[in-house]
Amino acid sequence: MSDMLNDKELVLSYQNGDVASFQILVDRYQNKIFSYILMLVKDKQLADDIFQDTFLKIIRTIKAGVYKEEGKFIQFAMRIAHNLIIDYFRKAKRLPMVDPTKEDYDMLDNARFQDPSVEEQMVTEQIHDDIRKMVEFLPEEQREVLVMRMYEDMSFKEIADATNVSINTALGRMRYALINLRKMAKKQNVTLTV
Amino acid sequence: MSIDSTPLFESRVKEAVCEMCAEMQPSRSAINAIMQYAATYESVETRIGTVDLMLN
Repeated sequence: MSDMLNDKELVLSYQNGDVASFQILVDRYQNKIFSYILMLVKDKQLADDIFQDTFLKIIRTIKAGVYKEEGKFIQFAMRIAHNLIIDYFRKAKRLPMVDPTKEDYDMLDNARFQDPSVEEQMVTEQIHDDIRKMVEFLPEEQREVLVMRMYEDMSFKEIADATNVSINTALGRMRYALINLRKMAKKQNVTLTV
Repeated sequence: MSIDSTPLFESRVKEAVCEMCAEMQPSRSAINAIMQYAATYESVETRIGTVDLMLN
């Protein structure tokens, strides 16, 4: 029955002592939060540690009664994960900086999924593999926005809030991510044709 | 289709990113540690301030 509850109800239920409600929140968002962290830190053990710290902080915030339902639970969780990742990069002194841009550019209106044949599927897998490798070379800030937008389906407003930047900066990072991927694809002769 | 085709390029990137992220899962030990903490942590208000408690 708890599975039917929305995030706000689950948070309240956990605040009142129902641990099963918190388990549902963890189950619901573990993949999105963990993949976001791992995409940025690129180390499974470290990602596990940051993932754990993220949820411990979420627990303390909820139990202290200071959790505010200003946005979605996932945004709140991503903001905590983002701050912990920033802390890690600061300590490791390797936070990369990229130039923000003010250009407005929404590029996700055209994602299409088809039912490919086996042969097409194999070629598609190769293309995906090539793209994965290229994504690894993006600066963290661009990779972060790419994942939040493309996988987490967050709006640029939500990304801006979670990462403490303006909407224009978030848009610019996304745009540069795609420009950089396109440059790498050209340089490596990656073909996108199935 | 040319790589310069923006819709195709973005579609391919989105597919690859989604596929890659969907495979990523935290370790069972991390989940267990989180749930153990969730089950035992309490924050209690006292006269001298908030106290963190781990209940057994």
